[in-house]
Amino acid sequence: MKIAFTIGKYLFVFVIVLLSLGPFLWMLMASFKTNAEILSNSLAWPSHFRFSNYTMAFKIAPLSRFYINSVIVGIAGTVLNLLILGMSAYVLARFQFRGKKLLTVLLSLSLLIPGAAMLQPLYLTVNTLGLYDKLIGLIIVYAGFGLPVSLYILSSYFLTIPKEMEESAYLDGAGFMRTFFKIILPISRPGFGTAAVLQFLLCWNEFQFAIILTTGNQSRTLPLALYYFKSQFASDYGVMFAATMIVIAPSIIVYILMQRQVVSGLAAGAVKG
Amino acid sequence: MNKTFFKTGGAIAGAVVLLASVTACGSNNSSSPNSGVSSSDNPSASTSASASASAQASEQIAPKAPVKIKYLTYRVGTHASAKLEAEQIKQFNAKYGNEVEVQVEEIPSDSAYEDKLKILAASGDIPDVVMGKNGINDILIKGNLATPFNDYLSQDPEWAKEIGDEALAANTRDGKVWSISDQKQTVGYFYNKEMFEKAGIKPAQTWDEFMSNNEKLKGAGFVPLALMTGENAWTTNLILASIVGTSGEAGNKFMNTLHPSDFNTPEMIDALGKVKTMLEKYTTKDAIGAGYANAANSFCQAKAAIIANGPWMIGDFSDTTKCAAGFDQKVGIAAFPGNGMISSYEVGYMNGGKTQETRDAAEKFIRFKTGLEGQRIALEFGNVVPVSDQVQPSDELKQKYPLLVESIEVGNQSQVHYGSFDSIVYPNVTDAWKLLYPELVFGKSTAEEIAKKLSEIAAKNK
Amino acid sequence: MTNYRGYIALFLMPTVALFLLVYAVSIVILFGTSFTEWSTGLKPAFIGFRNFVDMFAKDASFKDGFWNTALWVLLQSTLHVLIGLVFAIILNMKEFYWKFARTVFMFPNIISGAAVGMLFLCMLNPNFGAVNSIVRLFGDGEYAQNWFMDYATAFLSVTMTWLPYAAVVTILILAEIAAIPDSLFESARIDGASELKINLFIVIPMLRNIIGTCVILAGTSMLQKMDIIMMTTGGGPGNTTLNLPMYIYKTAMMDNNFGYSNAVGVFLIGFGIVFVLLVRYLFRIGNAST
Repeated sequence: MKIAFTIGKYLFVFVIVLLSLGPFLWMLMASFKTNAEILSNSLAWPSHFRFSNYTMAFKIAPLSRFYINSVIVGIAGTVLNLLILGMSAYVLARFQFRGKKLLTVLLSLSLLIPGAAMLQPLYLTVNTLGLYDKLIGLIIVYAGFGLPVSLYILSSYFLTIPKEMEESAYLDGAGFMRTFFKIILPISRPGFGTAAVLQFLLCWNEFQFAIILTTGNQSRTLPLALYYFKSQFASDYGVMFAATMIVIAPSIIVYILMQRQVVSGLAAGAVKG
Repeated sequence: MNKTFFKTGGAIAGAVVLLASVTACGSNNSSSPNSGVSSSDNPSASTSASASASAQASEQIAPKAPVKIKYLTYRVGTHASAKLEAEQIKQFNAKYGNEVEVQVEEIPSDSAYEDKLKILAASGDIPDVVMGKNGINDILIKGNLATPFNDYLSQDPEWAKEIGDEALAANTRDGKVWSISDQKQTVGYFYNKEMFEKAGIKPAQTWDEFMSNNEKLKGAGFVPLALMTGENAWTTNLILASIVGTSGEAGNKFMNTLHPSDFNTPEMIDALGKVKTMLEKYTTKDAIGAGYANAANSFCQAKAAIIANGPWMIGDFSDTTKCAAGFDQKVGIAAFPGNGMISSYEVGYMNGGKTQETRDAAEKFIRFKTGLEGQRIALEFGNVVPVSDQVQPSDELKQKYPLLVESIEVGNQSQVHYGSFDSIVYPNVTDAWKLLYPELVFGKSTAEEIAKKLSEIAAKNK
Repeated sequence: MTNYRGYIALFLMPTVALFLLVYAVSIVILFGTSFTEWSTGLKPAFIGFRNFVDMFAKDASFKDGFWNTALWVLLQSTLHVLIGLVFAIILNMKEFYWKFARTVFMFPNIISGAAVGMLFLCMLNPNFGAVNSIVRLFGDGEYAQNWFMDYATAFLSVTMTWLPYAAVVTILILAEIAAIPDSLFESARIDGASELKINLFIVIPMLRNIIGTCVILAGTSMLQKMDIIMMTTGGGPGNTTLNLPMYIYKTAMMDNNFGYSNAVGVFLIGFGIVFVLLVRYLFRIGNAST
């Protein structure tokens, strides 16, 4: 029984790792191939490791400019989103007040509105507010897109924190603000870490609205670059996958760094006992 | 907690007011210059396509400020026409840069371009110069968002001659010239001469011969056709269009009708049946669902003997990242059986300027792009067939791409002409092929049923 | 805690403002124009409930799209969450591979949807794709399954581009497990409970809130999923892989029928609200777990 369980466990892990790593390694390999090599035998090793796809990617698309923009949008969009939603998620998780149910349902709507139905209205809003073709416009919009996910993650995490923690803080004479910023925020690191990863990825990968809400290269982000290599009559998969690697590399690094935050819940556990 | 309630209510009310002001502003075309303000303070937006860093700094101060016009283009990156677009803009700037400043917005990917223009059209915010491809012209005409060229053309008969009556007529509705075509699509098919030789065949004169050629190619161990049904089913539909277009008077008329509504015709059903056979027996294993890149690669890597496509592909045959070296020597070009050739004019450019000043400036830009100079650049830099006979390939180009000369000759000799499906049907029909071909080939629907479905999809356009 | 009313309002205000800024106009236009006939570039004209009547009475594509969407929501909110949960519990045993596996599992979620679509389109190509090439290595040299276009496999193939990739569920649950006091595990171990039993009877019940949250997030993500479908099958063959987000996009952008598209959007939102309320009720989300 125990052996079957162990074998099952390893098999499961193996399959999951294979399914996750396989496509990634395949793409890494493809990023060194020519278009013809990819389209002829996708399993074969590249004839030789050419970096021309990578240099091409930088040459054809304004990658470096887009990079800077994406970093700004990614960081600012994440910070704004977490700050705003950390506050409301805390209140929604902890306090009872009239209209709470209605507000929760209303905010849940943001999870459900089809993206296609938002294209034109958001263009109107952003344009009217004078935020069209500005990074700040993208930052606000992305902070809004991440609203439901961050709200759910953070309030769910706040619910795991025992109420006694705050009560003892209040007894010690700490005010509302002080309790939130000095006691609650520090022990919620894992929750914030997870929400931050997802919010950052959203900002980093979003394409459709980025192209609708910007016009000039000074305010465009990385995902747009991928489409420079895919058009109706000339798709260069090799360069496209190279560009994809360039785009995802920072995400992977950010994730590995954030991971420490995400799992350092050990500290939180210690406080809890 | 009444407070939050009030705040929520107040904010919703605020949003409604905002919405009201937004729609009011959107509905009034003449009063929406606000969109231009945000990008104009950054000069780098305007010169992004010409891409020279020095241009950004030097063009800032001019004695009389040039008129700014906005132009969106999807011809960037690896797009087949990216080079000609950049060259046209560069030469226009060199010539008229102090009068007109073209603010180029790059939209990588054709479909993103269409989406964005539809959003802009729905908001009454269209750019000054618009490429009207794939139904965008219909939207602009219906919404009265563009200015016809009639006045400009009558003032400048020279330009009208450079475009030619046929090209002008192709984009005229109710006497109004809504767009100026920038290129002619003359499409036959390319074939691999080596494979044809080994199979002992010549380009077919009739569709029956075409089919028996396929059989012979297959017998000789080759895959006959590079077809694909993904994306807009381009290479497959060129053949479908040709079968219909060369089938006689009714079929030819059908393929020359803008926005056909009834696909349930004997010619269409017969053609769908033939194409079904080709997809089942005479093409690559991945044709169902494949994209253009797959079909093009099959042909270039000598894995299929025939690909239907236009002359802009000729450059690829000598591009060693796409085809083996020397491949261009092996390629021949032919008209479709029945001496048929797709011959249609692109929709080209529309004038979306909202003030007299921007309209004039947009007209100047369009006139340059579609006049002799623009056509010449398009031919030299993109192997694009010009709309005017006055533009002929240079000797240098002829030497570099002998196949281009051949393709123009084949085009001139062809007798039966018709449009491609992409140029005549509604965009939602173009989008439906990729779903319908698998139905046909996997036997879920008969040719008759597919034809009926096409009619239903076309009827969704009101 | 009535003395905190001011703070509560203050803490909610930025979120409400952000919500209104980003969503209010969309919601008003979406609901308002769902009762109109509105094509691109023209003015909306009020037509009452006709869009909704048409939708249910005679739109076969809508029905196909709805059933596919519902099935995907079901799969994603059950199997997908289960995969993530099991993986989280295994990782939490902190065996030698756990950090590596945790990082690698996230990779597919880091890549943007469109790129994932292109990736799978190439890997599942019948001719040269990696999957068929591997099958051919193990025997059948002529194997040429058309994964995305064959009626038998299209739905499964599209599903496989997202169903196994439950890294988000895993990290959410891992973060929550980390917040469970170690003392609980220790006392259970002292009582002689097996690892399996500890997980089944102690850990999982304590994760009720976060599992419910994952079910909602995973399920509703299927109400937005479009980029991968667009890149791979486009909804085909026929309507086999058409879902409602895709249908809404096509109706708006290809048929230029914004009014009808928004009516479908309203329906989709209604469906989503029912789903969210149901899950919240089932998991009693919002109640503290202790």
